[in-house]
Amino acid sequence: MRPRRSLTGPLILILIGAAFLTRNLWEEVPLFQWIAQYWPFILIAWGVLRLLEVLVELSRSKPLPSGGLSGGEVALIILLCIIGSGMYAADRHGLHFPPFGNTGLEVFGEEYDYRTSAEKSAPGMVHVAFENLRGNVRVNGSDDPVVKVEEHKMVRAFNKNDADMADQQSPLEIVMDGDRIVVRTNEDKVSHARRISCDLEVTLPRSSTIEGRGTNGDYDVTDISGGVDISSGNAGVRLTSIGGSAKVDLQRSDIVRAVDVKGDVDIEGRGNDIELENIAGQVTVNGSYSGTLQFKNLAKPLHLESRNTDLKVEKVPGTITMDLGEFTGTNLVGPVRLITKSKDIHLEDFTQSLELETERGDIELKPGKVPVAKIDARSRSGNIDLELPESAKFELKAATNRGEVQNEYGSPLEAETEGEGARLKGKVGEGPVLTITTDRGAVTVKKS
Amino acid sequence: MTTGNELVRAVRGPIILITIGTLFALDHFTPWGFQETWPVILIVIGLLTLAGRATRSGPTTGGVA
Repeated sequence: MRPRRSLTGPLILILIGAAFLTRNLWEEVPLFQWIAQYWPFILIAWGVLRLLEVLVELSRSKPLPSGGLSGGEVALIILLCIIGSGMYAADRHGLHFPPFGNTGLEVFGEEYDYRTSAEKSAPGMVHVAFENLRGNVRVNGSDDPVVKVEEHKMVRAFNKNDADMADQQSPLEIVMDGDRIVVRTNEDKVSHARRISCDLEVTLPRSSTIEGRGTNGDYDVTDISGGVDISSGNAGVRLTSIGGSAKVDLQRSDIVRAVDVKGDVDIEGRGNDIELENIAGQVTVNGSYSGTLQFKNLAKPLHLESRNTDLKVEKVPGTITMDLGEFTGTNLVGPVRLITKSKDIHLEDFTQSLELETERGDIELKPGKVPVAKIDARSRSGNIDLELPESAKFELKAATNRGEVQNEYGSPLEAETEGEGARLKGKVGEGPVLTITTDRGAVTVKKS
Repeated sequence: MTTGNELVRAVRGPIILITIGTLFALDHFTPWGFQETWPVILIVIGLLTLAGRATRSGPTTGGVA
């Protein structure tokens, strides 16, 4: 009798089929990210399945397969590991491949343009929601109590009839929905939704609160005294002069920029760059960003949490610039807490206590002002440079487990070697403790 | 009749597979990177080999089965 064939072959086929079907039916699902993140569970499920099969064979007292896996399976597993790791790395660095990402408008056919406009009076405080699947939305606050929308619709089709039909199926609407005004482009009513995109140019009362939803397209909001709440799949968001709070939740963004916001700023999701400037409220950033993050003049606490970095700063009168490999901060109000995986860190002009930890990377610290506050800096592998003001009072405890210390500060600091490492200790007046530790690397202390 | 040795040999592949999957999952969702945890795979293979040898009937010979 032939041994019973394994279930995994057909199951893999079903999985692949389901993946492509998901992509075709619900293109807003971030399938690429899901696979990139969760593919190890396919391996686990596969292993568990094979274990169960072995147990079933055992209970029927049939002969057991030796080795458990066939050669073909092993090859498939190795292939899966390579592809999965590749996708994971690509996803972390913000790359996406067309087969799984949003392909946007299809490249076939011809493009037809349609322009319409609509308006609705909206006296008093209003809440305006945008439902635009695909296309850019530009919002400007004005003194008129009217919501005015100009729409530029682009339809890709093989002939004009199809395009006209798609245009008619997706009328621009401004409707009241409870206490909200909803601006709807109805792109989802057209059967081949991915062939339409609508750019909206909107003017609305300055006091409005704005809510934006979509899968693909940028949001530009300027001069609004209410709040802004945007959640989208693939978008860039630019906010200027916002009176309320801003909440931005994006699955993938090329840029989130906010300038002159009076309320809190809350950013979530994945993307490339973030630029925040002149924010009067609290700033919370949660997600993974592979580009450059820049913070300038934040009046309230900043909290950033990503896969590799946890940062808390009380105030940022100066600037913070960070990317995947480097963190630079100038003129910060502490307590500052920065825990990160692999980054070179430069900090200048900071007050209050500092807690710093990096796994791989050099650390350069220049407190700048007196009195110097408590510092606790640690690198698993990297050099640490500390530059102290002449008049600073402190107690230094610096150590490297493998490497050397350089005392450019002079007495009363004293260096001593210890095995493969070295220590640098000393007290200058009565001051806080500065603890500097690296497992592997050089420690340098000097006067500025 | 199935011996313990056959059982160990049959579950060896799946167990290694689950281990690799778990390590990659740890890599993605916890600070434990695969570049740090990979020796676990060697340990698991070693343990499985030991288990296989312990359950083998007859005179034991060396080497990876």
